[in-house]
Amino acid sequence: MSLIDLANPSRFLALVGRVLPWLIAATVIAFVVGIALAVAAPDDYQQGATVKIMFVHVPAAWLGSFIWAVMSIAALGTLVWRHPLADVAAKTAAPIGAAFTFLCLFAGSMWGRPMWGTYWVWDARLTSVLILFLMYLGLIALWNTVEDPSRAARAAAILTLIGALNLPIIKFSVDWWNTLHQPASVMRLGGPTIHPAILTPLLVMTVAFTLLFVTLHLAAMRNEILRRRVRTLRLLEAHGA
Amino acid sequence: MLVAGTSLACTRGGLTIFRDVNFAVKAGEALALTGPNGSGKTTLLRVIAGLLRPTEGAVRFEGAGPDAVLGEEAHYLAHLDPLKPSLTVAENLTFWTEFLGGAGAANEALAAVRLERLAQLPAAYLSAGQRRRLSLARLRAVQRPIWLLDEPTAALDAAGQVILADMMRQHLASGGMIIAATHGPLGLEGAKTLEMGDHPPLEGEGRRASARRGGVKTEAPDVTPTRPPAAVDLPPPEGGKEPPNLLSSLSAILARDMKIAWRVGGGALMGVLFFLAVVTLMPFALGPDLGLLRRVGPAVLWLGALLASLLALDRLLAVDQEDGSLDLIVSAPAPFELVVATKAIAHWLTTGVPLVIAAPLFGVMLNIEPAAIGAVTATLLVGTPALTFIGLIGAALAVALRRGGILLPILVLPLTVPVLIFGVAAANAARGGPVGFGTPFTILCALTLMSLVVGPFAAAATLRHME
Repeated sequence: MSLIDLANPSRFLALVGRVLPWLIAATVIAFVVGIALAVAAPDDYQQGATVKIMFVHVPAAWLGSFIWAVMSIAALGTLVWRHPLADVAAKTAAPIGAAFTFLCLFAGSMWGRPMWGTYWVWDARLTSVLILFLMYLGLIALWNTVEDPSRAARAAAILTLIGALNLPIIKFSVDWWNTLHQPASVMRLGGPTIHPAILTPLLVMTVAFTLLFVTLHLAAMRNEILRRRVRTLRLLEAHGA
Repeated sequence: MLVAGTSLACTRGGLTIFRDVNFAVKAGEALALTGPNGSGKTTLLRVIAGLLRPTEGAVRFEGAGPDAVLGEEAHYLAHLDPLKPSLTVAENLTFWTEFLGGAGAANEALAAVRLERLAQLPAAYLSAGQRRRLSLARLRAVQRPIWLLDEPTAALDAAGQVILADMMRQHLASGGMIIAATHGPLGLEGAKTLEMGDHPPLEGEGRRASARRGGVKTEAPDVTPTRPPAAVDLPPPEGGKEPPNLLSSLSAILARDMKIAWRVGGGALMGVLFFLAVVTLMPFALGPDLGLLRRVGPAVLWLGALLASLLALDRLLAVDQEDGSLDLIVSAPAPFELVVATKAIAHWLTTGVPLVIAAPLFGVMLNIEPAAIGAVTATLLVGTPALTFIGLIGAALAVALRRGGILLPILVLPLTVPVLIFGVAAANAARGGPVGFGTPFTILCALTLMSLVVGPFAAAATLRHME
């Protein structure tokens, strides 16, 4: 089944129906294994048990950027290939991306409380993620401004691509701003060497989070397709009346 | 019941639109205003509705009682259909019936214009003709004795025109009165005709405003087009209209504005998003020094909330003006000052309160100490209504001048200076200093109470005199 076959929403729905149970099972297994490994992982000699926040924080941060990349591909699909499901994918990915980005920020600030003595520090990484979060919210706001999703799709696609172009620049600028103001006195998570005892659960958790995203995204796409069908039916009813 | 105009003239922007217009309409009579485009038909209707003041002459009204006001006895069906796209058909109609009276007749009116199947559909989905039908349902449900109709047949299909003609005939039979601007035949037998503007106005010498006279002549029985027999069996309007209750009028407008704000395109949470963006930008300008951020934190929060509360202000009144709702609201029986104040309260509840709720979280991000966070939140809770009600004046000015957007903040920002001063002073006083928390906080409360009084009156006065 190629990407073009998936352009037919009915076929896509059938595929999602078949794949979704397996994905849910895989996600649950990955989380069970990942959490077990994470609990068993040794505490850090400096950070104590708080280092385990990393097992949520890092995968969430990864998904924050990964989902924007997914949305950028979907945006290309809308603008270049005019794939009918591209804007469905883009629209449904945005709230999930915002949720994971928020989770990343929340976990970071929970970790920061014992580490920095305060919930929030204008650290380069946290600040970059905060800006990513703001951009997600702006994108969601854009989707929610227009009633007709096909009209919002192109505008949102352009904003997504501009965002993808700008995010590295923002990241660089924030890093530069941060080092300008304070030397890297803040202890950073993850150095060049991570002990395998921590790395393995981290990787498993990352896989688990990614599976969770794929599951949520496919389910959300299915819901969005059905929602649009309801909308079309209501329109037909209105004008057939 | 009598509505009569004597030697009416109207001048706008130095151009005489019409003059020496005379007419008299009694209960059970219809008057058709005809004439070329630009001959002043709509202007005359707006003069009769009380939305414009004539330059010369006067509209005389003899109603049922000595206190009867023409604007409250009339219903103006304008060019535009005052509908909110995010509300359903039923919600749109129910709002107007709750606001203007006649709530009991809403369902029956919807059935009369054949829209009952679409009742739960957002109005955004309606075609132009269906929107027009919804306006007819409103006209029917609010049960006013005087109908002022501006091109009522526009966008209506044949069946819709039959519904309209039946409605009008029934209205006249039950002692109503109709004044309609029209290009086509209304389908009413024995309607009087007022021919407006004998000379087309915009040809070469139009500015000389040569006497364009209008005189009433009784028309020979109207050229009724062959149309199918009345398909709709309309029950007569319910006897005795129920006067709108002030409280239900106000709660209707409060509920409607809040619903619109939370639905698609409403933007209730946009302000919070903007607030977060402003707070995020501050450390980039000031540097991430937590001590500095803590010191300026209350000021940053206040500035952010101030700018965020200005953001949505230009939609507060402009939306109602653009779709013609404001004309109906101004001429409604409910006191306009109270209506405007209610709209401002709805605006504050949907845009101001979220800012207050978000402030403590943003305070943590700026590393403000707990006592000061509490103080900032308290001052914002007390101070943001003042921002909304001062902004209300700016929103009214922007609507009256037909220039929203950028003008509004320029008008409003200087007026908010005292609120900012005492808001920030009280928030800073909470962390100790020469002045206690109580003094600036009480002054802030006083400023808010004052703006609650002054804002609606100033805004209402501005909107009443816009022409």
